[in-house]
Amino acid sequence: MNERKALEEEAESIIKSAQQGKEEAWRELVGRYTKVIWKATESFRFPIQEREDIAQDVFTKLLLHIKEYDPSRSAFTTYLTVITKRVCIDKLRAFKKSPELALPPEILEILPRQQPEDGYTEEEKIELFNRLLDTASTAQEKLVIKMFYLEQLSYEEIADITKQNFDRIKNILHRFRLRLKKDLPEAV
Amino acid sequence: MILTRENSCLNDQQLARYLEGKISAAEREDFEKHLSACNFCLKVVAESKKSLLQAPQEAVPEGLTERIISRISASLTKEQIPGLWSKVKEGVWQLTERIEIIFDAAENAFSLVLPGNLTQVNLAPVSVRGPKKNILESFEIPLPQDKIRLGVTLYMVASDEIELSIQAVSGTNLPENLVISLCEENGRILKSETLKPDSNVCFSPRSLSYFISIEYKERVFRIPLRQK
Repeated sequence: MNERKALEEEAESIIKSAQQGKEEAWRELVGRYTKVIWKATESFRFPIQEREDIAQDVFTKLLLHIKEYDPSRSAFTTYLTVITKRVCIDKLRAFKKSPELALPPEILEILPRQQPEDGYTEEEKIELFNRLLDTASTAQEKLVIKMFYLEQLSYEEIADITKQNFDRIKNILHRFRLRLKKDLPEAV
Repeated sequence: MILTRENSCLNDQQLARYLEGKISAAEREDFEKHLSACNFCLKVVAESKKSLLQAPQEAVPEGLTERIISRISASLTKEQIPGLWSKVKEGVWQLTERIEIIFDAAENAFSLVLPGNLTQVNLAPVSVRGPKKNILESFEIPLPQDKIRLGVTLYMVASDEIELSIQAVSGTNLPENLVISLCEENGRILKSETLKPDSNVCFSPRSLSYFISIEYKERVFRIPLRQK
């Protein structure tokens, strides 16, 4: 039995006790997993106090939903990370500082450049991008394109999440780039 | 592109399973169809993936785990309260009966009009019963002379979660340092945020024993969340 498997089994036993409301198990859970939550809040650049509040919120949420968690269906670390990210994004949303999905420089280069008088603003470019995305892609292709351009996931990460062939990911993105260059002027 | 949550959004366990590939082909098709259209869920997936692959950069602040344990211990020892959402579904919960909060810019003060004072504008009771929809019910708190209007909106953000959102509807004279909090029945503040003209304050109440507190210049007003 490898070390990771042993750790997962140990965690499963603690979670089972926590699901029964045992305080000692919760202490163990907080001791072990606060670092997972802390790591998941890093990318949002919240002030420290805000991050501490988020960590508290995540455990409060966990307290309410722990019975719904099924260890056989996902690792606890993944589940906890998802909860934390959702709380973080909600927090941003609440302040109307939605992490708007701005396009990366690479795609902005392809899109029409802003002109002083009658050109496109960045918002318009994003709208054009979306229009093209909506009309020309299947749902699966659209997901891959958004993962790459809007979420800046790598080919490897996208292939790993979507379980698609690496070459297929490259192909989808290549075809989209060609389409952007070809169709965008007419999409105005 | 704004990140909005829908009733059809995937829950935490579904997103975790998707990230780990522990889903059937049919589920994958459904999940990916949703993810291709929902920027919120996509953001959660992408952010989670990046985080799971990264090594931690910072240590957990000293004392944080102890503070969390202390809060959890207090919750564990309390009697479990039925979930708010179950009460919402049963149609036995409402936000409040009639309430008005008046801000007088000249006096620089708030006053609260309780039910029974019919000289003021009456507000209909806010019932959250009804079919599933994003905005279950909402009402505004009108103030005279268009000084300030606060709106309270109830959103169903997931199948088991509702969110109370408070915002200035006409915020031209919105004072600074207007603090809105979500408190437990015993007065302990769970969340506290300053209301700004272009933002709203969101809470996710979980039980029947919360109230919203509006605090300004050492004056505190409470909007109870109570059963009919």
